[in-house]
Amino acid sequence: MVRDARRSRQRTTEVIDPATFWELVNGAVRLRPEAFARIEESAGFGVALPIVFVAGVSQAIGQSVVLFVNRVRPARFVFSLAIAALLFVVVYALFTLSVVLVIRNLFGGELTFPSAARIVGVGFAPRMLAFLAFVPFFGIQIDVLLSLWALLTVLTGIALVEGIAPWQALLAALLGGLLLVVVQRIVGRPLAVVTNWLQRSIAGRRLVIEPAEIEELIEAGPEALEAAVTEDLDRADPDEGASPGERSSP
Amino acid sequence: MIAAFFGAALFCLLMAMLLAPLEALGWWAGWYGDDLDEPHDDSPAPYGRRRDPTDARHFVVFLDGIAKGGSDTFDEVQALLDRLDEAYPQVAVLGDIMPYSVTNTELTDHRPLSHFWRFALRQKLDGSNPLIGFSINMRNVFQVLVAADRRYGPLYSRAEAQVILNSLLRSGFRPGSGMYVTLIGYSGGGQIALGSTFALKRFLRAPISLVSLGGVLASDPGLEHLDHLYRLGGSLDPIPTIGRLLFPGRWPLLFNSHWNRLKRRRRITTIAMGPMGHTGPGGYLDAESFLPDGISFLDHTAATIGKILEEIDQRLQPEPGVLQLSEHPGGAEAGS
Repeated sequence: MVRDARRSRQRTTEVIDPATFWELVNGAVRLRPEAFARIEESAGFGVALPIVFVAGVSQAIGQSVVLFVNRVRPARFVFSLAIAALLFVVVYALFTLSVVLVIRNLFGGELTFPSAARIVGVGFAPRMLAFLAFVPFFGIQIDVLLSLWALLTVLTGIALVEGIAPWQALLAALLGGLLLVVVQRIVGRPLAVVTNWLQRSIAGRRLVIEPAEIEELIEAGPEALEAAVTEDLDRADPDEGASPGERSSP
Repeated sequence: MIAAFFGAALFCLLMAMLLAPLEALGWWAGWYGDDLDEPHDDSPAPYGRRRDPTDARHFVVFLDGIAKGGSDTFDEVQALLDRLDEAYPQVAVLGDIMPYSVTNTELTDHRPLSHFWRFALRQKLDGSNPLIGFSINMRNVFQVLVAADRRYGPLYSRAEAQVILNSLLRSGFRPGSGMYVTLIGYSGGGQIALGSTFALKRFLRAPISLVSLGGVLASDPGLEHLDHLYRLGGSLDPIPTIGRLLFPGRWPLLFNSHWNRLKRRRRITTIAMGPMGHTGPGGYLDAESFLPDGISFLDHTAATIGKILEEIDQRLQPEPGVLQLSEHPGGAEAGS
C-alpha cells in the first residue's frame, strides 16, 4: 500500500514543524501505516536525523555509567556523550546501508538508501527514551524493552514501505546487522582504531569497559584505577591523554 | 487539575530515580573533589560509639531502615540498641551510620536539598504531612535500588564498606585479630549491609554475619562472603516478600544464584517473628504491642537478635588453649 503510494505521489520537501514532527514520531512508534507513508513521501531527513541524534545522546546518557566508572571529568564527560552520539549516527548509517543491500540482493527489492534511512531513522524513535536505562535496577529491563520496540518499529516501517512480509523485514534487519558485524570484523579494524582513539582523546584516558577488568578495579579502589589508566596512557603515548594536572593526581 | 498533579508527581519521581545513582557515581568519579575519593572520618554524620568497646571481640554494626534522614536515631531504634548494649556487654554495638549515603552524609545537612529534607523530616516526625515525610523513604528506597543494581551496586557497596570500616576502626576493631562482625540491617539497610560485605570481608579479614530485620535482600554477590545470614520476618510484614519477588536471583528457578547456593549450604536461617508488621504500631520495634505471652514486640525482637549474637559467639569464640594467630590474615577465617 505504502509502496504504491510512494510510486504514485510526488515527493515533498516540506519543512517539518515541531507539531508535525511529533505527530509523525507518535504515529511511527504506534506503528501506524499512514505515518510511515508520510515519512517516506518526504524527500528530506527532517524527521529521521534529529531522531537518530537525540537517540544517540539519550543512549549515551543511559550508558554513561562506563564514563563514571572510568572517572572521566565533567567537561570531558559532556564531550564524550557528544562523540558517542555521533558514533551512533555512523552506526545507524552503516546499518541502513546493510539493510538496503540485503533487501535489494536477497529479495530483489527497490529500496533506496534515502528511503531506508528515513524509515530506519524514524524507527529509532523509541530509543529517544534510552536515557531511562540510567534508572537504578529497572534501567536494564527498560533498555531491553525500548530496543525491542525500536526493532518492531523499524521492521513495520520496512515491511510497509517495501511491501514485504514482516518475516522478510526481520530477516533483512537480522542479516543487515550480521553484515555490519562481519564488515566491522574484516575491514573495520581501522575504524575501531579511530573510534578508540577518538574516545580516549575526548575522555582523557583509556576507557576500561570489560566487565572483569571493571570488577577488579572497583575492588582495588578509585586510586588503583587512576594509577592503572595513567600508567596505560604513559605506555601508549607519553604526550597524549590526561592533562598534567590529572597526571599528578593520585 | 488532578491529572496535572499526578503528572508533576510522576515527573518528580522519575527525576528522583534518574538522579539517585549520581551520589555514588560522582563519589567514585571524584566529582566532589579529590578529598572525597574515600569516605573519611570528617564525614558530617557522626559515627555512633555506644560504649567503650576495648574489651569486645564481637562488633555489631546497625544499619537503619529507609526512614532515616538525619544523624539522630529514632527512639524505637535507640531502644533496640540500648537493650542489646545492656544485655550483651561483651558485644560492641555501633549505630548512627547513614546507610543511604556513600559519603555517610545525612540528608539534613551539607546537601543542596538539605533545607527540603529538614522540612520533610519535621513533617515526618510530627506527622503533619505524611506524604512529604514519605519522600525521605522514597529517596532512600532509590538508594537501595542503586545498591542492588549490578552496574552501580559494586561502587555503592565499595563506599559503604569503607564507611562501616571507618566506624569499626574508630571503635577499636583490629582487622585480622580474631575479632568478628555482625551487621544488622533493618529494612533497606539489609541490602546495603549485604552489598558491602564483598569489600568489607577483604578489609576486615574477619567472619561477617548478617541479621536482616524485615530486610529487602537481593541475590547479591556479597552473600558469598557471609559467614551466616539470619532473616527475621513478621507474618504481617510484606516487605521481605517484595524482595523475594523483585529480585530474580531469589527465585527457586535460578538454581545457581548466589542466594540459592547459600541456601543449599544451610547458611541462611529464617526466623518467624510472629504477627509483627514492618514499622510503626505493630512493628518489630513497637514497645506497646505484645505477643500472647505478654512480651512486647520490641523486647522479643531484641531477645531474638540477642540469641543470634550468642550463637555467633559460641560458633566463633576460640576454644581455650587454641593458639590465636592474631595478626595473620587467615587467622580470623577459622570460624567461617
